[in-house]
Amino acid sequence: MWLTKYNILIILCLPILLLFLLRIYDNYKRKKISTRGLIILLIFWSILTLGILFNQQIFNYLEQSNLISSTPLSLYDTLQITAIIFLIYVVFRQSYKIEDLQNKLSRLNQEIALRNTKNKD
Amino acid sequence: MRTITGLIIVPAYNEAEVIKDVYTRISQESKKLKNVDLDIVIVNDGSSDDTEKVIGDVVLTLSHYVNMGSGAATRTGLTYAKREGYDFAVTIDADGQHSPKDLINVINKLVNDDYDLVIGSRLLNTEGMPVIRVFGNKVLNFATRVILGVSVTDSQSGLKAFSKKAIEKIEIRSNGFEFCSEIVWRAKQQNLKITEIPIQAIYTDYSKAKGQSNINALRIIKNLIRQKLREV
Repeated sequence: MWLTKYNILIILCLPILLLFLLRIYDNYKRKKISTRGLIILLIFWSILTLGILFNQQIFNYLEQSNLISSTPLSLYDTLQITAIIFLIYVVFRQSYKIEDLQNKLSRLNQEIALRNTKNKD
Repeated sequence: MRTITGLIIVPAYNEAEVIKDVYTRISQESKKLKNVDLDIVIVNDGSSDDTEKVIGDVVLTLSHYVNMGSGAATRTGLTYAKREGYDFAVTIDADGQHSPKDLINVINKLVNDDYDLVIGSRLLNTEGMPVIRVFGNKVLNFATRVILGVSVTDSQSGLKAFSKKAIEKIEIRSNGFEFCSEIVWRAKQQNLKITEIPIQAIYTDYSKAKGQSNINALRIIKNLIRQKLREV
């Protein structure tokens, strides 16, 4: 049976991770992040994506090496991991949006102030 | 000798109580400068008190509709100086913490010794400065050195003089109080000539109440880290 809990985790998380990777690349193309910023974000999200893609192999390796002694992945764990990844995505996205709006508001405020300079001479 | 033009920028937020007095003192002292044509601009950063009304008869005002922070107000003032082609600009706190005599000293240092950025440092002579303020400012100096890699004795000083080159090259991105450290950072990035001179901070009950709290210092550190990470 191919629809294991590990594969469900991949099906649920992979679209979110790919969406984020695409957004990072899009922001880079629109010059909203620097090349170094792109590399750092790509490394972070790529590690997370690889971790999800090979979650079963990682779990088996850690268990065989006696590095973890937890029970195998449950459906609840699967949903919990998906929810955490989704929340990270939402937090990143919202904080970026807020910062962008703050910058726009700041520029607008400044421009209005400069155009309405009150010279009482 | 050619007359040079300068702009004194006074970012103000809810300073109705003292702004007129600060303006008058700056205005009187600035008349002592020879061969310098000085303008004073008050940047009202969306004050909710009567600041706008009080400065109504002041020569030059720029008004933010909403409060954006001290960094945003300073940026507006510096952008105005850039657009109007002033030869230099000076920023000074609106709470009366700085002596207008020190304002003249930073201008003289900038003009006579050909510096790009002159910082009036309160920590080169801490006499009369509350111990808690000395400590808080030293912590922020340390944070500025560790996070941004620039070292000055008073990273949070509001009394700074900028040459024309500095006005054109320094682009402040922060809106909050962390802009003080950011200015020094940007100046170093642009290889500008920086110096500090000792100034005397005047601590009244009013200026103590208006000054930065230690909680604000934590916010400054957090924003400095964000600023640095954004440009990694």
